[in-house]
Amino acid sequence: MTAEKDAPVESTKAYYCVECGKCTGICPVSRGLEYSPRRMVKRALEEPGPEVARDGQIWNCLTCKLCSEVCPSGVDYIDFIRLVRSRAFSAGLSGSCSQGGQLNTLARLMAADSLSQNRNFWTEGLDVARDGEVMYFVGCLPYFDTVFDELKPDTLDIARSTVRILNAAGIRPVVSPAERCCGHDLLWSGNADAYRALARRNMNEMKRLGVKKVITSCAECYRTLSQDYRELGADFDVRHISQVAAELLEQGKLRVAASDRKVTLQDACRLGRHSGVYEQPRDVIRKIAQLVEMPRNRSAASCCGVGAFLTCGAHSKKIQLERLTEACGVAGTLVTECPKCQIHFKCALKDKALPDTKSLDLEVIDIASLLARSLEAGKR
Amino acid sequence: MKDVLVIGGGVAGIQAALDLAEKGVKVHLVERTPSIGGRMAQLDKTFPTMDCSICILAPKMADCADHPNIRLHTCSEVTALEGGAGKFRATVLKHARHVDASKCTGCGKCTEACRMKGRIPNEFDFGLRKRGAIYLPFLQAVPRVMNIDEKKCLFLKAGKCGDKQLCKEACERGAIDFDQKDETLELDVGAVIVATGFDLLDPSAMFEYGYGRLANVRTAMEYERLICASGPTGGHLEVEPTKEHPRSMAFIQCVGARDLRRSPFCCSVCCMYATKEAVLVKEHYPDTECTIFNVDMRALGKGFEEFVERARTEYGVRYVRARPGQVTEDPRTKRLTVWYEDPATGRVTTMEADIVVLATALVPNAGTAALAKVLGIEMDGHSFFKVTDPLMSPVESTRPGVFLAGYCETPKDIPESVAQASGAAAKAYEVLAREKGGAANA
Repeated sequence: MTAEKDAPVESTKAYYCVECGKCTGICPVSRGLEYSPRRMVKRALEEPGPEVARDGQIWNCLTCKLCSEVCPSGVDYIDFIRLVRSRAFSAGLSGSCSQGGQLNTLARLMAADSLSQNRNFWTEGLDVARDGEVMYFVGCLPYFDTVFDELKPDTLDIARSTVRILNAAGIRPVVSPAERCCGHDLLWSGNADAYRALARRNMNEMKRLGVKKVITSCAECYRTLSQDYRELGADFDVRHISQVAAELLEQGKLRVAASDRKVTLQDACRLGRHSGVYEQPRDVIRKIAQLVEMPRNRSAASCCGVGAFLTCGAHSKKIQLERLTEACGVAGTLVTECPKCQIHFKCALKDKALPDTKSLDLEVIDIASLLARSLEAGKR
Repeated sequence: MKDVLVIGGGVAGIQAALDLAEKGVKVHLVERTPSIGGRMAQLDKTFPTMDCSICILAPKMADCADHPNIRLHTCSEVTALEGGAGKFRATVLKHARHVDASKCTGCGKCTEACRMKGRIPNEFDFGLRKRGAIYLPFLQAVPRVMNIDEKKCLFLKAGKCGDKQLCKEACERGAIDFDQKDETLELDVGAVIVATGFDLLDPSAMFEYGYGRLANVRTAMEYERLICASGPTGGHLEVEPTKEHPRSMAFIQCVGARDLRRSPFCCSVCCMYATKEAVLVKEHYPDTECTIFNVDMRALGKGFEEFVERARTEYGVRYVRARPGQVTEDPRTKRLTVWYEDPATGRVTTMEADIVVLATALVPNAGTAALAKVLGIEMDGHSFFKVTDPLMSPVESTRPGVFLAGYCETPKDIPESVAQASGAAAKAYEVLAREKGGAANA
């Protein structure tokens, strides 16, 4: 075997696995589906080479990173899964995408050379720039409202709110009509080539515009731009809107109206466990509402149930229902920091096959939307 | 012959002090807390013989207090060490107890009278019992002298305690002295023995096991206090909130230990004490199911493997090779569920438990780095004190004349700590003898 062959085992230190099964014991997927992170690693160790990539179970992982968070051997399990999926994809295998591959297709289309997107239609009435040092990376928000039409997720409200927050502090962000999907979902579903094509396009565009700092309103964009683009040579500063807002509030640059409504926070796995950002979103919420924690919070937070739009099914719904019930137990509003968490939770709340959701009286709202509302209230 | 300074009043320090004292050497035994005894005093029974821990230790503690060659310095810490082997000068900071040791009989009337009585978590019982601002750390404490907690005593903190100082009024011997000041001692010693033991890793950061959040999740040291006849519950294990005894117990091993991001090393005693603890459950409540979750069984000492085998076959303790991933709680009943991967099937399995006991990592004392600096000795990569040669010089620190004993050097059990302490005492004696010989020849 060559080093290249066993890249997933080598680079993730999977060989440190002591087969204690702690990962499986905490994995939210293992509780409903035939799946064991420990056995995946064991297979890779026992059958070096591409065999493990043929195991259909690799697509069950949410890459939520709860397993790595508790692994005594520090195995980077989600990166292991990413690399194995990449190998599987190269062999012509793929997971079943929950939106019939629609989102994956969109992302792949965006990697194409000639592409005419009408992705800035929502900026009307907002103060945005054509070029400059600070960019708002919008991500797939302009597409989500169309794809998830029947859910009415209104994800563009997140984009508008983000710009409103920046505008309120006197920041005029660049919003590029040539922006493409960050490539997150392609990267995590094994299509590394298409991901790299998207990444390069975005990086070139940022260079062309003279961007030094990128603000995202999506936890997945945040992780991808701040960690994965960096591996490809990106050197711009990346901040999630909650981080930017926390600083602006601290500096007194935003006037907000505090409300006494009880809200709780869904730590997005990409912002929390993947990036270690836990406190700034909380700092923001504390300034505008009453923050109440769910029992599972910060690094212990539960996943929203779907990763990279793969394998949404009955078990994902169970994870979501559990989380929504947990949120309902402490607050009337669940704040998200990733548009995808919001889509998945709203989907579960509207799912007629889940009779229990009827009793859940819960508003799901993004942190940018919540803050923008509070800015409006602050004006009055 | 010069005196010897022993730092740390646990079983290792006690053994080293007694060995030297018996040889006619004068020993200064310095202990940071108000009583000697250390961790062994907190244990209920010892493995594999199931002897009562304090019953073995208490006579040795008393010997230390009574021995004409041993001077106890409790509430004290070493702040400087000048000179070299054979002629050290140590500075010892003796914190005020605010109680005159020559007058106090340890009768406890002051404790009864204290306004803070029953309001301060007791360190010895890990907060499972509450004490006052003036207190005796535990029943068998040596010296049997009360101690005033400066940070909690209303009078010492604010200069006022109601309309009168109740403890002072209660004390028939006038032993309470609020004006007592910290003292600094300069000690000329020929050798130093360091035996500062271990601390417990706080498992609250390991959210997966819910310690601090789930009422029925306990650390193994808390369990030792709970199962102990002189402990906070008189030796009865109580499940919250029913206060009934447990029907099912789970012991989770290697909590933060053998964990590359926490304590990568094996603490060397947990497999055995968990076995002992499970056997104790069975002795108290024969029908209670006991499951020990461990990754490897490390029963390396004499009679250890046999002890584990007895636990398995005679007592019916179940061993499962797994590290549980999570402990969850039924919010209504407070009953716990342990989630683990069944090693045979590879599937997630659960077991219900009334109490879960965490074998938390035993780590070098929090003050190790500071003490290493004071003493001018090196630490190893895990913050244990370093020996010059782990094979041939297992008690010599990196500074000549300073010797190591017990867990502070590397993980070990009680008999190993005692053996190393005797070794350190013998080595210290060599230094003194050499120095004395040198002086005679000069």
